[in-house]
Amino acid sequence: MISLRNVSFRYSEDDPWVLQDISLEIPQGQLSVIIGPNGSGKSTLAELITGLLEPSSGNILVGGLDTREHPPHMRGRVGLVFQNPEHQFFHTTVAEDVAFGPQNLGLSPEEVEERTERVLREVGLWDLAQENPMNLSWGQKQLVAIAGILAMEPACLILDEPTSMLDPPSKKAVRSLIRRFRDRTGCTVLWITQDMEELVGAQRVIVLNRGRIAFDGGWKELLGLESLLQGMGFQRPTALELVSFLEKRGLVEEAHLLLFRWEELLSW
Amino acid sequence: MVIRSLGRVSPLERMPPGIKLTLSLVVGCGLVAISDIRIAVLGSALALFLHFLAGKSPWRTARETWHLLPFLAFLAMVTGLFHGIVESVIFFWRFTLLLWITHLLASSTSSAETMRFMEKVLGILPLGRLGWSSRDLAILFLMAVRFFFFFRKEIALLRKAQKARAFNIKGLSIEQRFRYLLSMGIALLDSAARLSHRVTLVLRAKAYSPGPSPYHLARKPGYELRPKGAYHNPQHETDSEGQGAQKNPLHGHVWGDSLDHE
Repeated sequence: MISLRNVSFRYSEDDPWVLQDISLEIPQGQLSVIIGPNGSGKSTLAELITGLLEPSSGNILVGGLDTREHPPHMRGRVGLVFQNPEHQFFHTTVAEDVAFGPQNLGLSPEEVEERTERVLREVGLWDLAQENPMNLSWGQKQLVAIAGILAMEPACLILDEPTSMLDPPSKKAVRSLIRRFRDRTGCTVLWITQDMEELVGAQRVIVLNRGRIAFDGGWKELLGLESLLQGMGFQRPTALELVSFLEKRGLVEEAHLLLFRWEELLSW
Repeated sequence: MVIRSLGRVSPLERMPPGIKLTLSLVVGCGLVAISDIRIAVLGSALALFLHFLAGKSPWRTARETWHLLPFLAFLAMVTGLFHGIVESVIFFWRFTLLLWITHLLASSTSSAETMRFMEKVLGILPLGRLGWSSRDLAILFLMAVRFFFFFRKEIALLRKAQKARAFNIKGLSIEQRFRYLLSMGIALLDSAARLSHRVTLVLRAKAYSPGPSPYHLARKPGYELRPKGAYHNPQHETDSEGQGAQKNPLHGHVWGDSLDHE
């Protein structure tokens, strides 16, 4: 369970507030999507939950422990995957890079080896274990970066726009990997994105705007709030516009079929 | 250790980094100090043998190091001016071999092995008294190497971006060129500062803490590595998990999870 109680944050006293009065309860195992425009505080929120930043006021509890005193990243409790995979590599082979986190956790060498092999097989990069991660495709790089965090077996996984630099097949691969990992381990997933289509099927959607929570609820409900989305510069997915268009023309059955298929294709 | 056994590895990759370093020092001294055709022939045989051990073609090494060859050719030409053409050719060949052998040994040694080796070597020095840890210095070294590649890539990107906007350095005066270099330097410094910040965050996100590694600490009494199978299982997470949390005596962190759930 992750609990944020009246959390506000700014980088220094002279700077404006990045996050203001955020209160959230995220139960274990939930798949939540955090969406918001640039500068809305999404990445800062992720770093606060991971314990990389300390809140200026308020408290964040991860598994009942205050992140100020017990930074969860130090226990492999919360894993954070950053947007750019190239910034996340430290070693010259994929296997060693994936093993870096578990080694820092002080796991036994056998445990490190077992986890590294399991995760590399899970992400489908076992054959590339001895390759230099910098020589892989961008999609594979992102999978290596994610594997490095999965090998730490976090109870909560935060992914900060992990698909923003990927092509459609790689996006699909990353989403499917996260889905499988969540199904296997029951970990909490916080997926940060700017892509409206990634909301589909999420158990919960949290919208951040100018450092505050603008919406907290279901994805279907959010997609109905056109004025809120437009106010943040977001557009409803094209498929939904098409559904509305068909409905207006009286093609209700076709519209529902289209909606059903769209959900089926994109859903978590 | 561990991870070298995963996937394919050649005999050269399995060789301990200490032996590789000693080998490259001995070969380096021999090739640099003795200007003799026999040494060049011996060096060639050794280079071929090492390529065989590494399972790598010499042409691949040549391709990977070609950009340094013009510099060696220039030095060989200067040598040729004073000592004649034969000496110049031997000079060029000796240093090319040195470059190839060093490159081969370095590329067959993983960064993690280099880091562990450096940690071991630096561990001999009394760095602790200065408040430094050999592991931190080793990772600093790794980061420095990484920044070298980062700068190379960043310069190439900046140049492409400038070319795309019709920039041509040839038309500039000396003063303008100086200003251009200064602005490039500032842009690079800015990028490096941003990258440093990002890398620090990632290091922390991967549970890196300054000071000796858990494996180094495990050699001391009172500190144990997490035993096999005693790792955290997210499905067992509960609100009260913190109550049984263990304190890591040397890092001051709470491991928390795993052991409580056993």
